[in-house]
Amino acid sequence: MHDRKARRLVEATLIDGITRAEAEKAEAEWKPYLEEQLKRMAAEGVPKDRWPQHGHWDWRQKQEAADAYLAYRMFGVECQSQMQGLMLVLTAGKNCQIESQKGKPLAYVHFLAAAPWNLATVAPDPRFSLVGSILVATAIHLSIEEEFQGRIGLHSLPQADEWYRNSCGMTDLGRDHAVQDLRYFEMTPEQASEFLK
Amino acid sequence: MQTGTPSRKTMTLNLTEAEMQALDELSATKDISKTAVLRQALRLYQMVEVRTARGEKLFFEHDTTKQKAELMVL
Amino acid sequence: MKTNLSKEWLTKRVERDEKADVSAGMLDLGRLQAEPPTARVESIQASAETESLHPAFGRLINLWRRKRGLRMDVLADRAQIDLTELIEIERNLHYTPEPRTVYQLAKTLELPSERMLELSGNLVVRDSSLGEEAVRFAARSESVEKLSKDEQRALEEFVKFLSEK
Repeated sequence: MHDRKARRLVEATLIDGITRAEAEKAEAEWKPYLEEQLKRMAAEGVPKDRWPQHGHWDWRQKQEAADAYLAYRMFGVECQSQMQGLMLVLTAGKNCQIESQKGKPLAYVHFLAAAPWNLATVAPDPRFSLVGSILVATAIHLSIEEEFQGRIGLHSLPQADEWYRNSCGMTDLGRDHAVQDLRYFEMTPEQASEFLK
Repeated sequence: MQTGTPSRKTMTLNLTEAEMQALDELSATKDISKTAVLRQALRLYQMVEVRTARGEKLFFEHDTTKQKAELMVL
Repeated sequence: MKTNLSKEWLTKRVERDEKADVSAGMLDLGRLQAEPPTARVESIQASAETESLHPAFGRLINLWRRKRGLRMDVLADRAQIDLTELIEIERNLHYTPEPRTVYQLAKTLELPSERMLELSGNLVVRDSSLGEEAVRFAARSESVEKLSKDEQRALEEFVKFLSEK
């Protein structure tokens, strides 16, 4: 990962198969920090459109799904003994919408989040970057392992739309009215290969 | 970076010709191996079973008409 | 699973990730309240706007559940939520439930989730008419064992309003 303050790469661990204890620890660390920052933002009068767009996801519940279903895989990035990012991926039941890949299975990134102290919209001094890139790369590798050739899909929260479109080179398939009007993105095998270069 | 690789076991399947054909067709359509097709089937079956055991029902919804129907075709 | 991310690749990505707040997934809580939910439960300074909607939320859940002939424990089980929290929702007029609980209830009772998040005090209300309708609904409905015709009518009209916006 990239330590923003030290301006260098630091050792991190990618965890494949988050345990209940790890999910609970992440919740116990992320939630109070986020709430503290929200209080600060309210006190400072920060405009609402600059507030974070995922206040609180229940990662324990997501970990339970990963435990209960073969189709779910949960990953985390740990650095300095703290979870810096979490991701839940669904590996069955989702097919490509892009015309050239229509009907072919993909790995669907059901949830992806960086720890709140890594978010520019939350933390006065975000600690680490590269959480997003590492987790997207992980989703692609998982897709390849599943024989989906790197195909992935996800619904982006608005603050991340541009990143998925421009920085990751994913295809923007527009707003999905079935999923809270979030923009739906997909990656073809060629785009995945390009991302990993 | 470290990741875990689960150990794998081998199994032999006895399928009818019709089942084998369906498996071949799905493998070709989905562009994945026959093993990967069966993995998909197992994962979906498990999800259906866990949720129906909880009292939920499996429905299909037509994209245009929004008409709902249970798993049965007819 | 093999994930070989080289130093060169990571270094290249640093610049691209510089201003990125990356996230993906449903349950968008984009319109967070001024106070986070846990603080709000204890706070006696909850905004008037939030306070006025709470009774309507609890009343809605209560009537919708009874209309479907569900006991509380059955609904809690189906929605996969804590029974104690459901009791709080229906009986404590000042209680603000967890967002996940609201979302699960909305899904189970087939009510629009975003409106329910607004009504429960988890999202900032965008449409001022929600407040007016919520107060009117709360006033027209009373907690009795069976739904009276008036309660039924009040419930149906309010649900229709929630679903239309």
